[in-house]
Amino acid sequence: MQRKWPLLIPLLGLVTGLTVAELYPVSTGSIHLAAILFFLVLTIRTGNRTLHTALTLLFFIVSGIYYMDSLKRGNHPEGGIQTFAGKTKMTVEGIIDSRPVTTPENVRITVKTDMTRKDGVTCHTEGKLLLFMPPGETGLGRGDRIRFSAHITIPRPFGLPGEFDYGRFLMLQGISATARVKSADEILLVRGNDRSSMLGSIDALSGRMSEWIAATLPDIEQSSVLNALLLGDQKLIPENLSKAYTRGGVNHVLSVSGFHVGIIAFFIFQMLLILFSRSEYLLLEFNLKRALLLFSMPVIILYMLLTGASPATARSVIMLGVLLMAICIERENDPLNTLLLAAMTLLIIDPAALFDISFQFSFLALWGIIVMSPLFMTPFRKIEKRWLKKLMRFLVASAAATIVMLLPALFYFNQASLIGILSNILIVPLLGYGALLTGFCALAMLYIFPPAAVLFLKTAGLITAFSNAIVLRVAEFPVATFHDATNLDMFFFILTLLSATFIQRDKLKFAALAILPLFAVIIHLHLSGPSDIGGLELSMLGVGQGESMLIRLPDGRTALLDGGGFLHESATDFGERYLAPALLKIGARRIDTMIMTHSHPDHAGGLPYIAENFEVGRFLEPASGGSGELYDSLRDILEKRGIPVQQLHAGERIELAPGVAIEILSPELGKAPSTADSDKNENSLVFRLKYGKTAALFMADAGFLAEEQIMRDRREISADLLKIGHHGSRHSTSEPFLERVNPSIAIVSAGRDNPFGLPAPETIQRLERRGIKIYRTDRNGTVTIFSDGSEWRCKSLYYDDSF
Amino acid sequence: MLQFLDSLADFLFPPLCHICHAFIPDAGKLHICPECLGEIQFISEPACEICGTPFFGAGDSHICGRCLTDRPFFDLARAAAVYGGGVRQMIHAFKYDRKTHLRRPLALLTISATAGFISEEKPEIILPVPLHVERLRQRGFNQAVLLGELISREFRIPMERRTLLRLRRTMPQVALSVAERMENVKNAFGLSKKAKIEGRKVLLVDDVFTTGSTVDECSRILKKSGVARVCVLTVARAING
Repeated sequence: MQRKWPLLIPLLGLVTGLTVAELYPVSTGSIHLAAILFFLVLTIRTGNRTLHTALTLLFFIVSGIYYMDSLKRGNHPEGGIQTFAGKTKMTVEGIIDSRPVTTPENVRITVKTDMTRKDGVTCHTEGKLLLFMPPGETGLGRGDRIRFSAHITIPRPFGLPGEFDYGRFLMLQGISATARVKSADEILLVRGNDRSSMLGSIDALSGRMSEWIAATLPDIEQSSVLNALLLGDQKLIPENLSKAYTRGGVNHVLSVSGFHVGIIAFFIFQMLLILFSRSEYLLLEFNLKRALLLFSMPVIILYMLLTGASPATARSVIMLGVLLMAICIERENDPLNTLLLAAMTLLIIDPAALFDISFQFSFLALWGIIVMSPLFMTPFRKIEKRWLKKLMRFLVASAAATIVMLLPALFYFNQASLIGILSNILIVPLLGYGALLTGFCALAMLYIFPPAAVLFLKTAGLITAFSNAIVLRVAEFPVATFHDATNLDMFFFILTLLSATFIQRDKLKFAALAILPLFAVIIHLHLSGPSDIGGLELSMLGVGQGESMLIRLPDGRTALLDGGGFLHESATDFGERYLAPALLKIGARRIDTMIMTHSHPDHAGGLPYIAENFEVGRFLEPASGGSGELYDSLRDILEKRGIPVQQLHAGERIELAPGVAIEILSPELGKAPSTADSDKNENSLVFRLKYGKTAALFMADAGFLAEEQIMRDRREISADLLKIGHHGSRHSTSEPFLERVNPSIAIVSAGRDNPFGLPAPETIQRLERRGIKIYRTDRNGTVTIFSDGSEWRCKSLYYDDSF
Repeated sequence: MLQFLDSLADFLFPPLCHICHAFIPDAGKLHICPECLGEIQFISEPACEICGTPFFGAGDSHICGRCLTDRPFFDLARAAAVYGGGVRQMIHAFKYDRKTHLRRPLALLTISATAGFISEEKPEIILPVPLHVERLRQRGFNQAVLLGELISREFRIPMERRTLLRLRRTMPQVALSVAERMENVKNAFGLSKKAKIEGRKVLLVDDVFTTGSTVDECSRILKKSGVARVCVLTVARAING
């Protein structure tokens, strides 16, 4: 039973199984696997082809599910490092498992742990831990045994829509916990090179080369790009430059892939050929071309290891190896079959690689090039001139890759650019042929004739500088942004690609190519059509220690109440990293009313980014205003964009939408703007929202003082829904106040492991004693409450109460 | 073991037609699909008993007019197929695009089409038509050597790679007329000093037989050095008109 693509069915099965197990909680046992395998072996004898195919597919689907399942469970063995997570510091010992990664923000070291100690009690442990430390020289490398003291944490997402789940990302790499030290001095090197390995020495070599590049080229923009090309380390590239490469559609050049591997292999082959073909004897006695191709393989593998063997690199090296094998056994090579083989190999080595964006992009781009290029080339078939044909092939491949990557780019990054088709013409030869080859020669010369190495590297630096300049210019072209690419869209996209590739009958193929995208668009529009929510929806976003709420009003308008943030002002832009993706995921692209209750970073932290990048109708703040760096930059942005600002005090009434109004209860008019922290809390904007028969009271960070003042004012404060003041602090939400408000549902925004112990158990007890239903973001993640005008009810929780 | 390696090869590289790249289920050793194979014009009798030029008609083989008036130095020349279509495409890719893996289908075609001829003639030594060293360096291989290797392996006839030599750099024959071709290759060949070919039967191997002037000049040198019999074997031969 010979097939054109023997690996198609197995790969399809494996990918399906892995994806299903990743998206849904399914599990399976080894007994199922064994049973299917048994029947599979039986069908080899009976020779029923359809049955055999079906069983093969099933076998690999179940294998995929089985693997993911064991990965999820295997990360939590008894006594694994993550079981030591907690509030006290632990001493941990282990061996560095892979090359430390340096970024401008930090150094990350993966440690394979084997021992913990606390209060003189030593425990055996296992599992990988990711250790963070501030950027700087560590002198540590793969194979070193280290010891450090730190809090062990298990990264868990806040529970925000569209949030990047860092914990899951690490889990897929087999890492089950993280820890942080304040400086390299806190890491004790127990024994250098405890487990010596070839990889360790290659890391060290790579490290020395990286240092040499940085020392020779003072310009970080040049040295970092060369570092990416030659040593596979993209993390040193300054953010604006890296973003420019992405916007310009040429960031693929920066990640070592088939193109780089191919160029270097070709270069080595040509060099060897020139050298060895001096000998007529060798030319006649040996199939020199074939032999030299094989000779280039070890160099390519060294290059792969030197660059850290990313999925894209490994993919290209496997494909190159397979191509060389085809040449050796003198068969035709089907690039598609080779692609399947490379994918299957990488997935068998590490099935979780399927969820690595680098893996997905690398395979999708090449798949697109292989399938689409011949189609796009049809009009240019008649071109006879060789150079013209080569140029057309290059352009067509670049266009094919750009077009195929459009949807995946939108799916992952919400933006895509078509300028890549053009920018590739300049950047690929410059970096790919120019900088890569000269740089490669420089590294080789480093050990042969150092002065030449410097010359080569300086040349490569110049070429890189030229490329950087072009890219920064190209990046000014507009990019397409689209925030609604869904899993289903991706599914149809893959299905279309599959049809274009594997359906053999032309009529069926063209039918599929016409119908599938149409179908996808219809479904997409149907699912994402303007949904009339028929009421008022309040989402208290799981923003960790901060607080942020999105109110979707019955007429489709939106109000954003605070923007979350970190407890202290931080270098990370909370709005960009967390809040904006969440709002976009929910579908709030315009904020009609932005409300800031007070200017503390945990409430206002995400607002500047939203004010700058979203359409914002108006800005409301307490009469007492705000202060601080964050607040000043927010006001600057509001002024620059001409967003009207309104300062509110008790007694005022604002309509958010027809039938929905807020009545301000605090601060009192005439409260002087204050900078003291506790004053800010007590002066924060408190209001009561009314919609139909339902009301909600938003207490911001107000405490007993403000509550007493509000009660004295004798305004209407009864509400069925209460947003608890100050993250559930024990100095808020007094008994008399609860008596007056008389809520049935309470919502609290608080982060896990809050350093102040919020929400306070006293407050929670006060609520529980009254039988009030409590939803809290530290346990439930994002909480969505809905009112149809007659009552509030909980619509959805990001997490059930399980944590 | 060999069978296992074969099925592994089929698994990694499912057989694709060397000409049209279509998948061939249950292919044998030769990876040319039935359609492409059907389009190849194999040379069969009746043909000239000396130069092998096919007559494309009924009747018996005889010596063609050209060989009668101007008898070549070689004794016999045979080719597998007419130089055209898929064969031409493969030879082009082989020589000019340096796709050396194409020597396999070309050699296999030649072997299967001329096996009878070889077993009748029983040549004792294979000599590939040489390239000038500069051309050899430029190309990286000699196509006649690569083809001869497989033929030598199949029929167990030893091949001498450096016996027949190209002494002079000649123009490529492609662009020249018949008369110019003969002039072009005149005295272009020689023999190495160590050559032991006196009284032996030689099989001269090349990729294409066009006018025969190259192999004829080689044969002249060989005959002059006392070779008993020269047979010429090429993958393809050009048919004029």
